[in-house]
Amino acid sequence: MRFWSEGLGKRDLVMELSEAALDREGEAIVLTGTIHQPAEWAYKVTMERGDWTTVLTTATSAEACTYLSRSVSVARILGMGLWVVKFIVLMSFYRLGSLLGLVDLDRDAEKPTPHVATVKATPHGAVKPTPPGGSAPTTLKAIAGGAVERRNTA
Amino acid sequence: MIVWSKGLGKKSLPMELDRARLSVGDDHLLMDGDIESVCWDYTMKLYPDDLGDFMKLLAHPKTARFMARKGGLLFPFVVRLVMFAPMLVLALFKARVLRTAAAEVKR
Repeated sequence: MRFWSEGLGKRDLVMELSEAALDREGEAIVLTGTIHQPAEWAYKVTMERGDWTTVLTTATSAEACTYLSRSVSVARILGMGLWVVKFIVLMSFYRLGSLLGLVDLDRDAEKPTPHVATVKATPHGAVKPTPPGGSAPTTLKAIAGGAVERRNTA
Repeated sequence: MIVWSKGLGKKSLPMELDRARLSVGDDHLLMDGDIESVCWDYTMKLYPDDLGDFMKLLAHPKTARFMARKGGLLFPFVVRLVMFAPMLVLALFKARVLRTAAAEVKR
């Protein structure tokens, strides 16, 4: 996909969607990856439900029909058709499972609890495990997002 | 849809895709519109691989599960698809006939 906006000047961002990583973040699906042109830049595309609906509407529009018939081979169209069939089957399965209370559709939603890693360090900075029954060292708590909390546990 | 890339610095670009204009280019499908928050035009060119990749992303279990959280999408989409499929077959047939005719005329 080639994306251009006035803020980018004359450059296009070339995104290889096939290489994108997909994840759920709250009320959106987030695609992340690296742009190879004009430079190796990270990118993030946040798509809400309405955006996916627009993708579906676009894919079944008269313009898409004209484009597919003119520029895309039959084999490729059939390939896309298989993905559409898979989408419909999965959607039906999840929708039905949700209505019957068998499937948790929010399973992928990111949990708000931050990842906390505790690192125990000596006063000189060398990290080593606390010896059993030894003196209490300084505790560093690294909280997701980069904030570091220093606590003297003595 | 919100697009961010390192090339945009701290700015991210929120786009109302449903308001985008859709047109057919020589070898791509073009979506264009304007980003209201910064008054910038934008274009998105979709090539054959991109359409396939979008379908593949849609068929990802995480996307399907996310989309299934609310109703009112599947049935209208299937109806559109049922209307779209014969249109596409006809368009493919027409394109093939025109291509063959053009080749005959060249000969």
